[in-house]
Amino acid sequence: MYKKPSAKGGTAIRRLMTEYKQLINDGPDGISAGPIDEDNFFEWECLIQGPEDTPFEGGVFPATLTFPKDYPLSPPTMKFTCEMFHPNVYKDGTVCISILHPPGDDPNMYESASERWSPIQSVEKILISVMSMLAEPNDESGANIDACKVWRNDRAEYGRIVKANVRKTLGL
Amino acid sequence: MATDSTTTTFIACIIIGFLVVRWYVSAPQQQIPAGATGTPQSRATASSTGVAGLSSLASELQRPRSRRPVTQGMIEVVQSVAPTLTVEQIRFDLERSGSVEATIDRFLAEGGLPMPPNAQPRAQPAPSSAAGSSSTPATISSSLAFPDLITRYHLETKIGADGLPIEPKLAEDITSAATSSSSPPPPPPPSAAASSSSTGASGKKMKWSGSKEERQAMLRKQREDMILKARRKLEAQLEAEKPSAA
Repeated sequence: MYKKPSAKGGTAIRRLMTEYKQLINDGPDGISAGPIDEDNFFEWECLIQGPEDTPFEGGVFPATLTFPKDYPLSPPTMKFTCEMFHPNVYKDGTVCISILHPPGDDPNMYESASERWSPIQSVEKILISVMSMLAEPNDESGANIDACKVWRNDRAEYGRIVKANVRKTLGL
Repeated sequence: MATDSTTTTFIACIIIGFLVVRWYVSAPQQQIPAGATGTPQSRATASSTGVAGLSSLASELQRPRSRRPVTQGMIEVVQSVAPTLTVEQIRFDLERSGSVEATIDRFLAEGGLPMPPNAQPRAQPAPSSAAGSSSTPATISSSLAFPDLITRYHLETKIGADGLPIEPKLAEDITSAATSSSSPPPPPPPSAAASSSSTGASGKKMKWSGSKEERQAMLRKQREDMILKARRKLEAQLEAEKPSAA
């Protein structure tokens, strides 16, 4: 009874360690991710480069990943720690993307089970999905209504706001 | 006479039946003592003797009886739809409604959920979604304040010759002041600072290292390189755009 949670946490830490190693040795371009402090493997910080040919191009966006104790079973949560104007990112920075949603019942009924979280996904896949989400917002599952509206109706204004955030994040 | 007795039996049955039903309705099922399964008379005595014990039980049972069971899973489902709500808010409304759908419908209809009566007043995140969605986009971008990456990673010294006109000594003061005041970004290990300043933006591929310190230093260097590279590029781009704009 006393051992169970620690054993579970052990599995999560082992898995996170493997993923961390993989990301360091052979991570995709434009992505950097790792624990903020290795004493706590459940809090990661990551940097994502803005994809090319989008208003996010040239930007670097910091985010935190928070892993649950039963990690490969439940998905982590991801939160941008910079200003992010995007239809699928809540105003507090929380990312709303299907890969971060647990399987099981889907209250909104617009995601197929294969798109959602399962233990075969990984941090790398999440970050790649988020990168492609930056390039192609999904306005069916809007998290930031204002961003949705601007993105749909006034693409130039959307680009202007995003570019202003890119500059602000880099301190220019 | 025969008809008379059947009529009285019938009426008696109705009255007894009515009393039994009434008694069942007034006393919840889980509170029936184990011995109270005989005739109405014996039940009546059992309930009257049990009243003292039941009334104390009733106060404890009031909560779960008037509210419905709420699982962690239900709260998580609602939270995935409404991340601005606190767990207490969601739990409170789920206890009231007993259904995830009803709570989400209410959240969507009203733009928030009421705070539970005994909750401590916090920085209320719920109204922001409701108020924010009606305001103009221009005001949103300034609603949250995040430090930029240069400040967060203390890169003032490393912006370089073509960067901000901060003198190294001054920047060091800023850095030390920032590290002492803000805890989240841990101060860089000396080895990381030394190595990252010696090498340029190249060297993206890293090797896994056995030592924890080395790994953290490498990760930190990777981040700094990424930020500095992006900043230089953007800076050059802005510089190039300037003459055409003016």
